[in-house]
Amino acid sequence: MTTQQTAPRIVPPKREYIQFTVNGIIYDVEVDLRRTLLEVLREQLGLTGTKKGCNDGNCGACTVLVNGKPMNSCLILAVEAHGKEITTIEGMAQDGKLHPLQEAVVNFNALQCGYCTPGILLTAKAFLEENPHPTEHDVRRAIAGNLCRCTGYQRFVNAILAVSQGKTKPDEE
Amino acid sequence: MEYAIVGKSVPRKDGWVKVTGQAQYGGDLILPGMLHGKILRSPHAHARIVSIDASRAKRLPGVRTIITGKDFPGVKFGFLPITRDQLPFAVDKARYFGEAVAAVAASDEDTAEEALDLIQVEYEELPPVFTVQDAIRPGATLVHDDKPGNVGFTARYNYGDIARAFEECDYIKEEHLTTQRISHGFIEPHAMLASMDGDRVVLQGTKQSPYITWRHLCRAMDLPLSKVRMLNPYVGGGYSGKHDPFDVDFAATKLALVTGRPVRVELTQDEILGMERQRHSKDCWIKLGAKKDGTLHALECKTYFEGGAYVCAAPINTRAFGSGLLIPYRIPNARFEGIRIYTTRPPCGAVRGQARVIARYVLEAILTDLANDMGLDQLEIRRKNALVKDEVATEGTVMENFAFMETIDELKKMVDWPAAKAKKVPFHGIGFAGDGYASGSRARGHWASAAVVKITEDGGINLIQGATEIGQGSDTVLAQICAEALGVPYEEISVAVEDTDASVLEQGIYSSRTTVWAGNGVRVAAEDARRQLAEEAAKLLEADPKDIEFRLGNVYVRNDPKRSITFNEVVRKAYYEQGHPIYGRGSWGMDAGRADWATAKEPWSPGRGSVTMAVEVSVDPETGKVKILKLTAAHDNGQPINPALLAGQIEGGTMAHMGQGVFEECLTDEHGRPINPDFFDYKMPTALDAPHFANHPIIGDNPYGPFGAKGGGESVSSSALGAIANAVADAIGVRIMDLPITPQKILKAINGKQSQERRA
Ligand code: FES
Ligand code: FES
Repeated sequence: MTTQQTAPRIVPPKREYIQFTVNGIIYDVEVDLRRTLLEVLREQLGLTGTKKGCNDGNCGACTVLVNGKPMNSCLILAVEAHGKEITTIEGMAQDGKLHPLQEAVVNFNALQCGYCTPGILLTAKAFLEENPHPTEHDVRRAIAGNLCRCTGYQRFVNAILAVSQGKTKPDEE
Repeated sequence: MEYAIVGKSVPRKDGWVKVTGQAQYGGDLILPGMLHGKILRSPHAHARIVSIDASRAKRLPGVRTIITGKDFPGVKFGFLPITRDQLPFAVDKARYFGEAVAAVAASDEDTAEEALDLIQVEYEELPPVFTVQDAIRPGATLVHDDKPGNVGFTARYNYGDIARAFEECDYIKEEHLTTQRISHGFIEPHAMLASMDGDRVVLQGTKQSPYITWRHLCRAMDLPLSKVRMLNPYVGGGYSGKHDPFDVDFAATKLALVTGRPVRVELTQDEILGMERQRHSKDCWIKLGAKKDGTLHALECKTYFEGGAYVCAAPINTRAFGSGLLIPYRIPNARFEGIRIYTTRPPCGAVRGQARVIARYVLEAILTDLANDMGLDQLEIRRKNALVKDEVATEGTVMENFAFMETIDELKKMVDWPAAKAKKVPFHGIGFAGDGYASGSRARGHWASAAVVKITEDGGINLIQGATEIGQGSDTVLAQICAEALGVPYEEISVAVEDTDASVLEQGIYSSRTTVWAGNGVRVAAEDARRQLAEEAAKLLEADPKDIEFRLGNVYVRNDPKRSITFNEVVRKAYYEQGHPIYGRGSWGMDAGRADWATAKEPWSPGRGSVTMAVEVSVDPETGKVKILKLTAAHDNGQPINPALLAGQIEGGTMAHMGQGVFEECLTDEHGRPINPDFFDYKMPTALDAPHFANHPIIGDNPYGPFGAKGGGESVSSSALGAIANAVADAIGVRIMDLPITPQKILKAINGKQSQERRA
């Protein structure tokens, strides 16, 4: 067997400029065509609040809103985000004030390790905007694509239901 | 006792940072000049490594270095001195599909991955062994040449004359129950960042118990402890699965040492679900004998733990299993043998609730079936045999402050038993199980807890301690304890990250120990700070330091509360006028005696929680699908420090056990390759599967715990698996002997039962 003496060559990746809005800020970025939105958000924009769990569309940790719709950012190529409006977890609190869902998630102790939390919060935000008066089952179905291994989900469900009723705190504990 | 902060569901310390996306986890960490590491893994379950040629990979532009198993000093590590069987990477042979063989550091992840393809490894395949049956067969291939019979560890006990005891029984039940391998199911993939600080390595990332990682990693890399600094970012869950050092920790550390650059190694879910630590699969023969009236009299249990290529924490597993059989019920005669078997599969270790969860499952299953056979009531048989406060359990544990009986009685009310029993609905079932879980039983290494309470000159409080916030809420609970002991508002406390340089590390975050052990360390440190502050305040208020009271930031003279001063003023005077910076120091430890691994006896622990749980399920007879409707727990965790956090622990643990009960299994093909290492095929419970939870804490007593607390992390959910399995058995009238209880098994069981009934 002979070992090859020359260094293997890497084909330079193709890159393209895209323009999109993330949390209200317009970004012009040059992206590698193969990169997902998740990677560009985390690695190029430094928005690490969007989490990588499975990187294959099965856990929901990477959920962001694309034009208001929750999507797994690990399944979207960054170039597809061109011209779109993206909301990540960093854009959920406004002017230093938590979104009611964020407040409720803290007050209901809905989170533990917090790794799934950004994804669930964004899913819930989009969901409540479309379904302001959901039943418990609706809520459970809405977040069924977001895996959480720490909690029993019930506190997330209670927090989301409370927000739909204009509350951010549990009645008692 | 009326507490100001203890017992209140204050919001978590780490709530804001987590809901805003600011919390940084291992995979979020970046340092200038950081390289990316990747691990090359064995494509065979069992193979001799003949040669490794990395020359092509090394010439790939962007590759900085490649390491193999031979670059480590060849020092084995393991949980006990007699179980040191593992090297950081495979050297002479690979013992499971996915074992680390080499690692690359490169300028980016793509290059690192491409380099893996260019490393040429010549393997000589060896026959694999995947099951206990294969591994213990005479003449079976040995996973380790020096481990005859593929036995990695054995624990045994024998209390009483077991043969005679069974002769004395009126009824004997025997079962053979098996349980499967499962994965912890971390949503956060393991990610470690190692960097150099002079000749020291700084290692940070996804670790649950940095202390355990630290001491084993340093041993295997032949480094003094002082040359490695570990600190913890936020961690995406622990579930007992991030204690010991893994290939990812070794790879990051070694690659940083070799290159002098920061190196981050992140794993993918298929590596984690398919090739990292899992729960042992178990083969359990169990026999339980009782007197006519349901008094348990004799127990015999032999369990094989199929645990893969390295023993890891198996002595803890066998102990947790063996001791888990004997508490919370009184069984005067008992024999146990737990045998940990090597196979060529990924190594197993601790998983949420430990092997105790499985022991509780098998015991509660056979107890339920025995009671049914004998026509006895499920809760009555548990009451009859419940160990009571101060009783001495068969293996010698004194059941101090044990409130198990009270939890049975409370649960009885909660589920309205026996009225509920009378209303039996077809294909609906209810199952019960109990437990009495130690609040931190001793493992290895140092076992005390220590803390420093540093009061800043403006009256702020930095709590420096060694417990890892893995989501369980330790930062919050420890801050509550600190605030209560110091008499300041909870909001004033900042909790520092765990850091081997700045804090004495916790022995580990396991066995529901943190609230009690670390909590006591914090309490003692806060009391020390308060004592110093009382001296200063006494001067200002012209009183005796003994009479100074602290409550929610107010400092006053007992019996004369008008003579008061604010906490801040006291601190300022101390710093600015007396030259007295306030540092409270504290540590706490009790001589728990040495752990006796060979007899599976648990050492003394400062508290023991207890629980009785009921699970209600429905089964769809057409599809075999199980729906868990409701989960009710009456439990004693002493004084809960934060009831909402405690309830969160109960719910989450229970969900994980539900996964083991009805969904999950790590599957491999005939070559030992993982079949389902992704969340699509490895089914974990979702929000639609989750039941309703009802839990009721009985506030039992614990003089050893801070403010009377007992451990809570695993001590309630540990009964869930047994209760779920019992509920399904009640619903369909048949016991499924092998987990998970899938729809296929249920349909088969229902059909089998129906055809049996037709024949009869
Ligand atoms: S990381 Fe995108 S779905 Fe899991
Ligand atoms: S809070 Fe840890 S995964 Fe959901």
